[in-house]
Amino acid sequence: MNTGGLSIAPGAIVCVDTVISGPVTIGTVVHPQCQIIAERGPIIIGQNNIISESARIINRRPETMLIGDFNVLEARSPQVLEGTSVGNQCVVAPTCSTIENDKLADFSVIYGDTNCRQTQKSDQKAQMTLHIKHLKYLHDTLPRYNHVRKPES
Amino acid sequence: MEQPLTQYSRAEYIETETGNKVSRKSVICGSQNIILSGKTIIQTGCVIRGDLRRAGTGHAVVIAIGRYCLLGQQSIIRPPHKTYKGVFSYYPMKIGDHVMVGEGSIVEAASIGNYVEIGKNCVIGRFAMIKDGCRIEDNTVIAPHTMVPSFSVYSGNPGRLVGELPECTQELYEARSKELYSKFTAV
Repeated sequence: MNTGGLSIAPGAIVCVDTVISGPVTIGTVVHPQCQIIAERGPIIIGQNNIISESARIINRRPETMLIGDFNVLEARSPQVLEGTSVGNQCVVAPTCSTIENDKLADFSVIYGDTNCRQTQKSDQKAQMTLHIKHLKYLHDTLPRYNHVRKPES
Repeated sequence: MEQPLTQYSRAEYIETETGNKVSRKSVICGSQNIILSGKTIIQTGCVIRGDLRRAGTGHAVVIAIGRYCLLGQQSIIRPPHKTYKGVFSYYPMKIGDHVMVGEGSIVEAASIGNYVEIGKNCVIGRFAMIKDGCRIEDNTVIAPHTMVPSFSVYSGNPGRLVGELPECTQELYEARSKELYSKFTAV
């Protein structure tokens, strides 16, 4: 594990216009203006997530923060706070956030002004195909218009 | 309603030929796909995503913004996306004249008409259509695919119809946005 600084997996698209500090490992699409800040412990973000503009992921604890695969964190949404870990295929709606020391189960959806939660039961397959198409589109389009940080092998 | 005089340092904003004032600290992606008709103010920290264009080749307008608009600080303008006939794509967004978008709002609408006021920290869902002369109050969340009819006031989370505006709204908003623009001056 790389504890020194940022490491970007091959196949990830991380725009230059982002604030990333501390030991962060990324394997996903990160839009401009995101903040991923590992103040003490590292943050490990899995494969095939979409992290939209102004999303904030902050780890103030010494423990590692884990974010799974195929998650969608929408604009300004997830102020994912310390001690939280996110499962797979979760959706966090715009401006919503998680609470401290929380474990988001797989297929969770956070929405509404009180950060309500639900689990996706039906249509998980449809959501997955949409997500894969969305990723493919972003992989094609984002590097054409934005400066992208080079992945490290 | 008297608008306050807003002054900015000349170095902070770029003024274009058609009178648009764009903050240097705003983030504008894919600027070749964005059309500003003129006299629009884009404030500090605003994010406009012109890079999320429709799939396919050729020239595409992603975001068209009318005259005398104000995009507040930290607002995010991004086009909506969906899959249609199995093809995933982002779709263009059109914003009319005299539209005010408040601080920290996120707009993913398909179209916004003329003379519209969107408050602070609102979320306008994907493919929402906002018609002419509407007011969206602060902290409102408009659900995706919502149709907001003309001269209506929406509020709450999820956003609901709470009132109507008189027909003179057009003139009021027009006068206000022009006054705001004229009072947004460099020092």
